Amino acid sequence: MGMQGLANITETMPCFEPPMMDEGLKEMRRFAPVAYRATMPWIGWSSTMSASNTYRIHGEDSLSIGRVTPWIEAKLIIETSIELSRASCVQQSSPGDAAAGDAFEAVLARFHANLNARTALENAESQAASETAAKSAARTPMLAIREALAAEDYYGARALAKQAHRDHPEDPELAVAAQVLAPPRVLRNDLPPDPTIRINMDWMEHEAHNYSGQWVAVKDGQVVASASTVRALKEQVPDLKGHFVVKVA
Amino acid sequence: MTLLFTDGQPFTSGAAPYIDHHPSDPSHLLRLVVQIQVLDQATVAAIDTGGAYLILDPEYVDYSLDTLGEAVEPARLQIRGVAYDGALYRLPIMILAQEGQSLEVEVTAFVPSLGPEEPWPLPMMMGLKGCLEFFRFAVDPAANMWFFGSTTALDV
Repeated sequence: MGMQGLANITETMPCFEPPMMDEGLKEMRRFAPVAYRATMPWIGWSSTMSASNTYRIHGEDSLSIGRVTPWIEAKLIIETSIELSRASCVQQSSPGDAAAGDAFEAVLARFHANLNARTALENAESQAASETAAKSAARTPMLAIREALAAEDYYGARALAKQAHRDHPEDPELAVAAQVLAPPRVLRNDLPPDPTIRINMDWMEHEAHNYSGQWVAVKDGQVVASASTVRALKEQVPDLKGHFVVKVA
Repeated sequence: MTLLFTDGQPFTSGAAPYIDHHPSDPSHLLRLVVQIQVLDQATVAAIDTGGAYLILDPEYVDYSLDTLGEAVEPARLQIRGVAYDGALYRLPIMILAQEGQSLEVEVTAFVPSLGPEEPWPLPMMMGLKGCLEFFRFAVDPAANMWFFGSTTALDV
């Protein structure tokens, strides 16, 4: 801060007694957000502190605020102004004292440091909040999909999954849901017929009742193996590929 | 054997016999039970026009779960008025034709989760939604034959 800025502050900053500053602080906290909005962008900031005293800070162009919320910024300004006010008391009581001028520089340096720190903190919190919101938003559609399924709203579940995947393409769970719940798709319609169907169906109609309670593997109308569980069936026929496999009640 | 529209265009592309009782359905209700191929094994499933998805017997797919791919899990479905927990998968099945052409279709399949030694009490079923919804099918009860075909790009 140059001397001109310092002069502005000293000229416009009255010297307050601590009790008055405390009262003023309360009042400023109450009015700060409104006052802040009314004075955007902030170079000079003013507000009525009490009926008889005006409270005024002048900064200079180099005093950038940074991107912080109005309330945090206003709070910083209040805190800084209180410190500046105290410093001005010192300076006014010791005119021409270089140490008093340095006090302003120190206060403003702390203001910048505070502001930068709080801006960084606020940005980090804002980013964390955004990530949480994104996760929450991605989770909510999945919950809605599950609820639709449980409520037998299958087309609704499909539409939700499709839309959610479109909105959150980075979410793997929604990608799976959209794929799994998509409409059926014909992959091939030129496959040859299977002549064993009739044989297997005849076996079902006329022979299956002999295997009550069993899993049965049939090949070309002949029973290859039967067992009470698929596990036991596979012990007899490890590769059931190409077999007709059915459970008989 | 195909069924045709009046303009000669195919309505279905394949035909197969069906039976009217599922061997693993203790209810003895009349059903349309057709042959399909799931996980390279032929089996039977009841057509359930009031249901959804392909409902698989968990024991049938027990050894193939790793090959079914990613799932929507957990998922809870109402099947015949009873809520079952399980997982939904996407998998190809084949609708087997005795005459004409078989169809390979990618459908949504539900695999219920059961406790140890707990048997699945229902037959495998093909629901309309998520499984048969883009099928044409017709039934000839005199011959116990069902006719089926795709609603899109019939290549006959």
